[in-house]
Amino acid sequence: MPSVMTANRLQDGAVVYLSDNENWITELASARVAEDGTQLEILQKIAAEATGKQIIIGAYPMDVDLTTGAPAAKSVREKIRAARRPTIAAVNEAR
Amino acid sequence: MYRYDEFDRTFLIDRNREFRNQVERRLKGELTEDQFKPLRLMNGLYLQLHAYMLRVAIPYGALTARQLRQLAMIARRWDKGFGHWTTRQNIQFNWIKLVDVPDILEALAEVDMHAIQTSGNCIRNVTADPYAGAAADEVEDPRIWAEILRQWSTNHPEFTFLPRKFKFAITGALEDRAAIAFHDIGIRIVGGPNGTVGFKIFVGGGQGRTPYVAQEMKAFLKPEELLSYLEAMLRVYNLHGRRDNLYKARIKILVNAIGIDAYRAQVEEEWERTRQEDIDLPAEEVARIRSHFTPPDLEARPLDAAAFAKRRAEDAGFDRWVRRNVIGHKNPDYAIVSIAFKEPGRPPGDASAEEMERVADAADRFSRSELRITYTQNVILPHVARADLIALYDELKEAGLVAGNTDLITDIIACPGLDYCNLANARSIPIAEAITDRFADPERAEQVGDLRLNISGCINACGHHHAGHIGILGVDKKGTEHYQITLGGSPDNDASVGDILGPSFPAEGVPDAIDTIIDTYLAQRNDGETFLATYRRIGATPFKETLYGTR
Amino acid sequence: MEHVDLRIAELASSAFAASGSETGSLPAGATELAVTADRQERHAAIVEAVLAGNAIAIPFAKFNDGRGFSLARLLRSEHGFRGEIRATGHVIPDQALHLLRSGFDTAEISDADKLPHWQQALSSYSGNYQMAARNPLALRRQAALKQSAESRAADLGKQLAATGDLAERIHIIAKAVPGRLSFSTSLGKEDQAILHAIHEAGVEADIFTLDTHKHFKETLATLKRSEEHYGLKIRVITPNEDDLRELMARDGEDGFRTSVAGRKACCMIRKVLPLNRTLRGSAGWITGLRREQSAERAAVEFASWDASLGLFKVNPLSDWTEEQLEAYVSDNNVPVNPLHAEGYVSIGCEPCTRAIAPGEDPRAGRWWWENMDGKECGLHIGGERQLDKVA
Repeated sequence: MPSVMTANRLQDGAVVYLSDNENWITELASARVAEDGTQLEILQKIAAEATGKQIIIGAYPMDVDLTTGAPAAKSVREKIRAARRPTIAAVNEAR
Repeated sequence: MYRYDEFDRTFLIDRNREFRNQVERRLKGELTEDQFKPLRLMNGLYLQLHAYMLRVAIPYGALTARQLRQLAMIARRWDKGFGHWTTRQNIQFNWIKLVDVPDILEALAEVDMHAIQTSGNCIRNVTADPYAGAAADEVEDPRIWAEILRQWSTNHPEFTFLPRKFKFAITGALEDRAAIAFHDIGIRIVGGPNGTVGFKIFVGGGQGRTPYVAQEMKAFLKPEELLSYLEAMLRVYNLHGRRDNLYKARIKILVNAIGIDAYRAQVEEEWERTRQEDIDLPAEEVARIRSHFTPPDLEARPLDAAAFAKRRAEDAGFDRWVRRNVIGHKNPDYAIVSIAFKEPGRPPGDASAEEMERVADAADRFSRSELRITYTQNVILPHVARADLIALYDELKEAGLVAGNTDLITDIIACPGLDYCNLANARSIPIAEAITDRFADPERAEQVGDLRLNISGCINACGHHHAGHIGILGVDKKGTEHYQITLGGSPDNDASVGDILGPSFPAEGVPDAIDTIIDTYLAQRNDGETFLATYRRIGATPFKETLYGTR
Repeated sequence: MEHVDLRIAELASSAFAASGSETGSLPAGATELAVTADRQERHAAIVEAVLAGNAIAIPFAKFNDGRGFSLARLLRSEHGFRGEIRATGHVIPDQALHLLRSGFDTAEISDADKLPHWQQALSSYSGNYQMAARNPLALRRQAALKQSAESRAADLGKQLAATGDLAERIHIIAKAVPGRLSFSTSLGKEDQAILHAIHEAGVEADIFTLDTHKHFKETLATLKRSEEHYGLKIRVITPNEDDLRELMARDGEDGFRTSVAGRKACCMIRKVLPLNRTLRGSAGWITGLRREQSAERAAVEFASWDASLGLFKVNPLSDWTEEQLEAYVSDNNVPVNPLHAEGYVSIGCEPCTRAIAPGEDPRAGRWWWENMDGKECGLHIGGERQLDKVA
């Protein structure tokens, strides 16, 4: 099952994903996808290092949907995280 | 209001210096997240879905206009221009950066505020009757004792690493507006022999996974016995509360496992051994704290009754606002006014920086600069002259803050839910929004009458769903958000835990389900009977039948 | 293992400053007390620690398992234990003040690099809202003392020196002490004089005596006579039965004769722990100590701050001579223990007290089979560093 590594950035708590060039970015669509367990292990190792360097916290792998080509969130929770905002229209317009 | 002296200010400076140091050690890697987490939680700092969340204490819900303006400043400078009144009379900011927190805490300290013990397994901010000092049915102002409890519990050497969080609520009134039955320890100020005043103590209430209504622990405690008795209660809990299972660690589990009588016997034995220890404050210290809560000197302000009646007759909105949001004050020339933060389009309890400033202005002009936050996520102006009600209404109307729906079906308590919270299983705010829209017609809402509808996004029950006349609990059902409905809960003097009605509903089915429940109630109610009274009379069956059909 | 001495913050209580660590100088022996210990097990641990001269070590399985805090607090308050209490296992620097204020003296830490954090943590607060299990008054909210307890004690001493009248001195003490005033009486001549003065001054005090179950019958008769004479109540404080049973089981009926440690353990169980328990919550403690009584008491001041008990210890007779005392007692018809007339000067428990010859050191009648140094039962040992003398 395709998956990506996600976490929160230590300094500001923002939702981040591991990218191809080993950066932690906020756009899920540009995240690096692991196609199998072996690839995922590599991503998890990178995440552990970043945790040790005080870059991120609470890293975990999450399943993604690749129907549109780019990785997309599957669960409600991950959709809300990836959107980087709550789902309340009135609130998002105001802020 | 309690005003800080040099001691209190020095303490805050020390606390903030300590926390700044802890944040620095975390950023440098000297503290791991596992080590830092309990330390940051002890200072109200959570990590949520999108950012850190800082929960700021509003001790016993009491706030000054100056403090509210500072909260507005913080919302603008370090958040996205909003704050959120919590279901325990606090405020939380949902878009906080870790690196900013030490500066935010310093800004709070400038107005004698803090985030101490708004989370963590320690004694949390004490909640109290939001009408304290103004209510007509008050035995004594509970803020005096809430402040004493605040000081006593702040950085308590023995009770900072308890098995689980610990919540106090206190009321000094006949009518419980602090939900004391749903707290680890609930305190009711009562009259004693020869005109004395003392405390009735309740223990073991709570919501969450295993809801309980608190049981009576002690019929009467003298003021000079309060702290030593509470220490004995906390010590028995600290030593014997479960630490092996997060869900069984609250005091309610201990009390119900060994029984209230066994728990009481242990506490009384402990108390007999330690009560002489000078734990309770000396009389002069109680008097010093009491002196901060001297009732304001409210001059006579006769109301122009004719003009008032005329406005009510001409302006249905004003009339409804007076009916629902203006509450009797112990001084007949004055009123307690509720400012509702509940109308279509607003997540329950969200307040913008501008609204905070408008409300602060209103408090300065009309309420001796005093404000209160309710656990139902509204704001109270405690001392408004009836003669000023029209002017206040007009001012609040400009700010869009005159929803006249206090204690109606649209005065919903809701937690932030899955839109913000890491613990949530489902969203709360969109459900609140849908129900608010469904009952947007104020006449219909008023026709339904007093109704407490509470929504929680998970079993932790921050949205008090167990205590709602109608409770809604978000659950995860194979990856989709579902909602379970309970009926018959009450947070008041007649406290009860709601009964689960039946299988859960998908999000889109919830407004219809609520409609069906309300229609059933309207069809069954006797004259003047509230929803809760009807439910208690007829039970769950008629509601189950209309909702799920007869089986 | 490194040790952090938490008391460095407290010893400098007025400044709350930590200065230097004192690692490695602590006694190695420790009696471990599990956080699940019930009352019976706590009594057993105390007796064992007292007999062996051990610290009591409370292990923390996880730093946020807070049971150890309550346990230390119980050892201090319910049991009156004043020996070293040590935190072992997982404790973190951010807990230093919680540990200290709950009654711990020391913490065992595995990582010496963390020592600066511990020291910083110990000095991180200028004051606290609650009383603490040790040193309650100095840390209490309303006693965010502009003036340190030590200098208040010195002021009180000066006031006492300014008058020779004993009732007047009692008045001054009652006025200066911010809370409950305790008077422990042995029913000896000094204490009878003070009892008389308390009665004369009309001051309210918690008057009590420690009944060790080993007193002379004359002493107990003096108690009864004094109560009747002054119309006062003297509370009789007895040793804890569990502690006594534990002591007998470990050291036998005559353990106090066979070794100094055994004798001191007996004093500890029968007198010191009951005294500590009774004094808890007290703001001032009046005693009948006089400088003339022994070489060890030659420096007794009128008033001092006892940091470990958290109270002012006041000795209104400290400057009196034997003659002054005799004159006061006879001028005022103060009832005295008839044993004084038979050559008994310092009267304690019957098996441990004898009459002395004229000219002998007044304390020579106590524990005469031991050598001369340190003939104290432990009631009047001040300061943390001398605890080994008690045990």
